[in-house]
Amino acid sequence: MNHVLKLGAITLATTLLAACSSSNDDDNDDGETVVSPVAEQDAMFEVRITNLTNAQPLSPVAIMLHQSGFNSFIDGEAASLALELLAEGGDNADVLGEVQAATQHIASASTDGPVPPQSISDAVSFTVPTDDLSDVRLSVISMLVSTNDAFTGANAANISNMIVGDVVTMSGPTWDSGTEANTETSGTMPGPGFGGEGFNGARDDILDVVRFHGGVVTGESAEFGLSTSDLEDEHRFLNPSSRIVVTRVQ
Amino acid sequence: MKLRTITQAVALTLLSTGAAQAVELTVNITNLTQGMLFTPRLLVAHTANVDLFEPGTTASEGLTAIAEGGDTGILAGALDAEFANDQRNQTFGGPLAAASTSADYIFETDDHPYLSLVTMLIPTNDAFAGLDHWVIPTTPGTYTVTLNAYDAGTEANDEINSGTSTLTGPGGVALGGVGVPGMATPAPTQANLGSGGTGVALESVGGVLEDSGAEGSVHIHRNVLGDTDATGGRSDLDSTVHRWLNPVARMTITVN
Repeated sequence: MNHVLKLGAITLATTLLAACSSSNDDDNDDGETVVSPVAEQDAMFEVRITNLTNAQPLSPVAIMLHQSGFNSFIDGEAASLALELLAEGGDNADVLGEVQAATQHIASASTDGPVPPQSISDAVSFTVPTDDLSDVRLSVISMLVSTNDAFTGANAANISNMIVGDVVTMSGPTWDSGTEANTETSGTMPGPGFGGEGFNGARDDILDVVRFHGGVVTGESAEFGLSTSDLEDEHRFLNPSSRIVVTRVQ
Repeated sequence: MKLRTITQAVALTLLSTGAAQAVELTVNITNLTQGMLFTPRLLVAHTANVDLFEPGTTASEGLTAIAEGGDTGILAGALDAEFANDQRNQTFGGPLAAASTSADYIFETDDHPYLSLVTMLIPTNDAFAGLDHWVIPTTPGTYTVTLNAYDAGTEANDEINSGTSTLTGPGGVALGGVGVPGMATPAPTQANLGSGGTGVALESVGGVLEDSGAEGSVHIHRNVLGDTDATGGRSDLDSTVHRWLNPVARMTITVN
């Protein structure tokens, strides 16, 4: 949906710029002015996500470019329902819907699918009008699927004023959305391997606020583990759990 | 307009030559953990020769007092006595709850180039979050840094709740103080703490936690273990509550 809207906007801009160019040409005596392809008036960015974990699939990644003043979540505050849907069930539709409804929205999209452990996603391309380049924030959100409600990404990271060829690399920590108790039981974790319940509206975590994740406990240790956990050694992770690479390609 | 600005800038430069320019920071800190409380924060602006802590070396008496008991007074006093002109320190705030952000602190740096901060993680034996020699930018703006959790290396990580444990330290001494086994566990940290543990890095023998002395030097904390037995087991921490992954804190620093 968003892609369609964005394409519509580009077409409109093309028309307007073409009109300007022809009027300039009329004033130009030598008539040799080369009119640049209008698409070059927009900046283009590519974003890639690397799943740095050993065995945690990352759900389809919500990638959002927006102006400052918008946040999908704030540390220490309760998660939105949209974030809860993503963090518990991997469904990013409402997180994308929220940013697309915001006045600060520039461009946003999802990766085509999940990003498997120890792999790099395909590049996702974004068009940013040059007028917006002085204030561009990047938010990225993706669930660590074999958890109750962990997610990784970036929260309104400043990528303003990048020039063509610039590459910004950032490390994604792991958050706990605070919306579901970390029982680590198969019935409460979605996706491959467990296939349990994803989203559930109940808020039963020890704190109903977003904070950094303490890691999965797993059932591997009889003395220090969580005997009811269905997670194993392979599911453990440390920060950072993702790497985000932003390249301005045009 | 621009010329006037430049003239004023030159005048200011001339006036301030030879005198320390006050640089004012607005600082806040976010506790990113889900189960740790931060003690009052010792914030220090300083020169290169001042060090609150240095990974790989043993902790000072002042750092030990912070890491084991949250008391910033000893380190602040030592800094003022030894480095009167090379640093400015101030202790900010009260207990900072898990997953919360502090108030904004206004801090004069006295034009010292580096910023450091230390705050204890409670309940632990001797864990602290630290900012070490952060270069204060000369360009006004808002900057974000994250802090890792360090182990002061001064006390074994027994993970025993000194508030409820029936164990004692060597010679029957009460647990929890500086230089004594057991975690300092003041009232607000008791909620999710167990009791009856026998000890993790240090195990009790005959009701006594026999401290083997300092562990070593300051290093990145290896995290707590905890267990899920609230009335026994090895640890009085909860493995589903008290563990963390670095970083444990974020500071937002605005150079005014």
